[in-house]
Amino acid sequence: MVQIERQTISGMEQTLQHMAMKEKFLCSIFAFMLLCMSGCMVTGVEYIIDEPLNEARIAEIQRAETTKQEILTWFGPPVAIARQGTTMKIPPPGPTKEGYEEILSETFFELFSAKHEIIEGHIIYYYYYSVIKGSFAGIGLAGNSKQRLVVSKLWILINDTTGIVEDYLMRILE
Amino acid sequence: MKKICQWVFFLFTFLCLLGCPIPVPMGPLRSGEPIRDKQVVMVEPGKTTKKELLEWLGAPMAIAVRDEITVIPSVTGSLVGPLSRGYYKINSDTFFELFSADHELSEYHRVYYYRYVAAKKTGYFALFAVYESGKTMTDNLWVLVNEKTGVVEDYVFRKQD
Repeated sequence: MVQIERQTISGMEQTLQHMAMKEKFLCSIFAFMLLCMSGCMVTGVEYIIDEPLNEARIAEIQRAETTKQEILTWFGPPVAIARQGTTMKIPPPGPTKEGYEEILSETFFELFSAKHEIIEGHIIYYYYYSVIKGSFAGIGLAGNSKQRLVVSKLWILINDTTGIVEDYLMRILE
Repeated sequence: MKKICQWVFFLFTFLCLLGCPIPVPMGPLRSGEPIRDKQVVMVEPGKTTKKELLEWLGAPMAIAVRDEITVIPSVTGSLVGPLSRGYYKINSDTFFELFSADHELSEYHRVYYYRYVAAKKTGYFALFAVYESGKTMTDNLWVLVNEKTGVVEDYVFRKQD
């Protein structure tokens, strides 16, 4: 009788020991996970800086149909207007937009010169909007961050005499 | 057994949280006075005077003169800080272009430029990951004023939704 009781007690002890072992094992896995992840950080950022160019509106631009007034209503005043023989003053894209860049209007007309015979009455409306995209990944004291400025640019060739859009071009530059 | 269940529950919650971003709005950070629709509606082209305009909307952000460079304070939400400030220069022609079709522009014309900027940021937090997105919203009002007559001749209002 006493022997049976001893056997039962030792069996219970074994079960308890087994449970304690299991608990310790789970704790160590959890602690290991926490250690691995402590100081580990991933971040991503995206900042839209200017009023985005409405893509649905851009798709609505019809060559030889859309008018200058429609463009102004849809997108507002352009960042710059290129007229032949002039120099444009354009604020640089980005968050601060400090100062301006002087760009010869001819560089914009060059974009359309292959397809169009550029005449005196032609002007180009230039729009852009920019987005800052960035990411950071770090473990402990080491980290790697990336940041880039994505600029969407839109050039619209207009015949100022007729007030009609003749062509347009859109580019996304990173 | 009870403890094991607790651990499993804790671990499960922890794993769930790892993939569960929590959006936290920050801001918005504002610059300038909001341009309210009811203020804009009060402006009547051909009737409203420059004096009334200034009383209702205050001093403009910039006044554009034809064939000159307009200097405009720039305010945008950025990575560097909540708002970054500077100045940018723009050809005034771009503003006058808004009115060129309907008005014969003279040397007496000016464009009063009003602007309201609200930079909004939202952070999404999971346990070890953060994602931040920001947007600069700008409301613009351009008012064509004839300085000789002192009368508002036209305006364009663009509200960014």
